[in-house]
Amino acid sequence: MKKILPRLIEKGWKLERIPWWKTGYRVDAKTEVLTKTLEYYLGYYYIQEAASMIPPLVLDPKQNEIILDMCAAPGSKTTQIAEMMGNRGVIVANDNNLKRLKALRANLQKLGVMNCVVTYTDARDFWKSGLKFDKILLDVPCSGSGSIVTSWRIMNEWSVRIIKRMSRFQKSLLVAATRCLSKDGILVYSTCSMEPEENEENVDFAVRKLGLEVEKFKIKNLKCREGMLEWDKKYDKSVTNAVRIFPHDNLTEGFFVCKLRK
Amino acid sequence: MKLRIKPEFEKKYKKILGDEYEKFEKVLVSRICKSFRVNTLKIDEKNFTKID
Repeated sequence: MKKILPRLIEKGWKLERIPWWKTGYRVDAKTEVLTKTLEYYLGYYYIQEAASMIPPLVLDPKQNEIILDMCAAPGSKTTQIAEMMGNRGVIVANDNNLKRLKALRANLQKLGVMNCVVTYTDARDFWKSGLKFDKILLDVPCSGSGSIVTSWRIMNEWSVRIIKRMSRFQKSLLVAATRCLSKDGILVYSTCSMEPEENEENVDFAVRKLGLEVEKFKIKNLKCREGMLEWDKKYDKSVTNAVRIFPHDNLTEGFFVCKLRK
Repeated sequence: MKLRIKPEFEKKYKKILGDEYEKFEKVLVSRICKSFRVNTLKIDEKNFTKID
């Protein structure tokens, strides 16, 4: 088989390495072009926003671990986690949206993921399974304000009311995730939102109400900022160990990532 | 099509970002590149060439 990157370059694509993920590339082409290649259909590459590749790096999955991806569809991060685990260990990929679950299953199959079990349940009820996990990725549904840079229509939907509603929902997911986490387990909380109400406020909640600890982490070659200490109210000082990324920092979507330990 | 930034959004992010707001807005109204990752479950790392 011919090497993949020369094949893509032959199509006239200009590629640039993403500095924080070894096999990530930026490409100056439209989605319609990227999804109409044999290589794409065969699952040789997966279209994923550069900042979205960060939460699995923070999760740092190992081959012998049992991982829960609580809001997994359509599977960008699930498939990246499977790749990092070399298709070993176990990933439970959950979602409560059937249409998105179909996309998840299709992506798992297309990318050759073999260490993943798919479940269909409201993440808030997942703890009822009685299962405990070494690591959990909680990439929550959010206002998506960090994605405005790639999807301008999100600006039309942006409102304080939606942000507050999402923030409450995300707290309920944090409660559920904590119940599913083994003692000393790692929970990575992430959003594609730049709103403190959906980010630092929820991490503060996890520290004060759920007893989780925020761990500091560093991603090589990524420009990022500490979590904010105050927005409407003061947060626990450990919230600064979380990371926020603005679009103008790395020319990516805005993102927020936090590593919590039980 | 043009991005119309809501006034409440602008007010909030000026408060969060201060002097950096203009840089932030400049990127918001531009288009950033798409990205992808090569799937090493199907392509061995040896089988794709680094371009840098």
